[in-house]
Amino acid sequence: MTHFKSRIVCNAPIVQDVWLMTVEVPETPKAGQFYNLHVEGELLPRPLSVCESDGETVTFAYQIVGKGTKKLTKLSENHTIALTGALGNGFDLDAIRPHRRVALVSGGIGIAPMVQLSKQLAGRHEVSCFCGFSEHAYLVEKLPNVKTAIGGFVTDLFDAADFDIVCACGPKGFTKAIVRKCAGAVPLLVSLDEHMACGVGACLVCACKTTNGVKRCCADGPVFWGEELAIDNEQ
Amino acid sequence: MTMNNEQLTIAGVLFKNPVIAASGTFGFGLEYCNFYDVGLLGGICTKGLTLHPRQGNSGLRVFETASGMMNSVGLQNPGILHFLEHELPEMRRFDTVIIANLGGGTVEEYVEGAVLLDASLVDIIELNISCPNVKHGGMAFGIKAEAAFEVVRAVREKCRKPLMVKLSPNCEDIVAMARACVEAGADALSLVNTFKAMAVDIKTRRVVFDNVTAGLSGPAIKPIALRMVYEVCEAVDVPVVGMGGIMCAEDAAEFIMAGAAAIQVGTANFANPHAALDIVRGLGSYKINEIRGCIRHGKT
Repeated sequence: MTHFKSRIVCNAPIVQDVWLMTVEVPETPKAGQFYNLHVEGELLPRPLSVCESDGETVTFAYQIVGKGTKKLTKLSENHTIALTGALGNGFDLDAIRPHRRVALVSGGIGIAPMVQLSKQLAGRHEVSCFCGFSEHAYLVEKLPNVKTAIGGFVTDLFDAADFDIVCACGPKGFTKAIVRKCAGAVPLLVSLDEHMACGVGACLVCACKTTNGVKRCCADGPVFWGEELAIDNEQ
Repeated sequence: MTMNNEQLTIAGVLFKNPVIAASGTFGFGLEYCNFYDVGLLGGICTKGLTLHPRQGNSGLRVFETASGMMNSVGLQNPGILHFLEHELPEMRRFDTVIIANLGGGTVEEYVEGAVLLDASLVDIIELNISCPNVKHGGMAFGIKAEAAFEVVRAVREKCRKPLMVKLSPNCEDIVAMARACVEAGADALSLVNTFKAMAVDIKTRRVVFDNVTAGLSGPAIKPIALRMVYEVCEAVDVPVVGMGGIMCAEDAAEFIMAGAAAIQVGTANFANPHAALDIVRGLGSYKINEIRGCIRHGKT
């Protein structure tokens, strides 16, 4: 985990308000880890999940949701950007290893970490992907065995009993639905989406309730076991 | 890093430089060890501690504003006993001043907490009578000078450690508050904590925070914080530790020129994890003794 400045290799839209940004980062983060991107003129950094990495660059998929992400789109090739990372723990590959049939389930931009995760699982597992979007699908061409739901419930696309483990990422409503669907049926590793400030576990603004007390999404997660999450008390 | 051969002491405690990590923004220091040797800082204030563990507030806890941020963490902390057993021994390995930030809901709770910390290896107790995010987090004591006097005196009577009182900008009169705390036995003052603020989500037509209000920090508050630090420095004789939106060494120099003995770096740690160290290095080019309080008393 370091704080550094890096060169942007490319930054372009892939569909509507979703962009891909590739930055020179000479390391290989784990799937589900994230970096804080420090946007000029914005006080707080933007935490973005790794979508792909090749040991020399890291690619982020991000959706324009506010001022900060809008500013990110203004950066072009050869601009420099300050990053902090890799942050968080990512998906525990050792926990996934014993399981043959793996479902990767995403809601919206939650597809980003699934791209890297599917690559890290390739060849060792039977991987199936289920991706939900509100309007347009994106990044699905980078995933194996994909089924998509546009405007519907991605959780309706599969039967939990057909899999040995589920890995998921998406917004809060999605997280609730996937935790309920998998409860008692199949182990679930789910990456949470929380507002953050420091990203390193110091400020305690990204707290999430678990059966083991209040945890820090950034430093203790962002990936948690579904059964750990006290999801029904949230919102 | 020494400061031009001068020695900085606050409440009898020697500081290697005037840059302190602010409570609630630096965890217990361990979280920033990956970035640099936190022993290079003048001091570290712990996350706000209470006698009993606290889970903190529900709902959204952070919201960015123009040149600032609001937080509503609500003094989430593992409790003083956990701190003494687990976090403090780790922190003591850092070659820096360890300041325990103490919150509470009643005078008795503050005193009980202070007694525990008094018997520990912390260097200074920072009495937090200014957390705006919990009903019983000390804010009640932070508004009225008489209430502050009462709690500071009660803690002072039971506590031999150096006592620094952290003031709220939400108090009725910052100078009256500062004088009351000094009269009650404070060895030093730190100010300001966050400003009570709020935000509305116009899409959902609801307030953003479950608690309705939250604490505003960052560059947005710096000019007001600076004014308050200046006024307090004019009014009291104990060392004043200034804070509020300090992002860089130049900001820190402003507070020192206003009379601050030292400064705390808070929100800046989120914008740049190296911020506090950058400020230590940036201040290295100033003769701190010469600039301290230089705007006061007609000095130039």
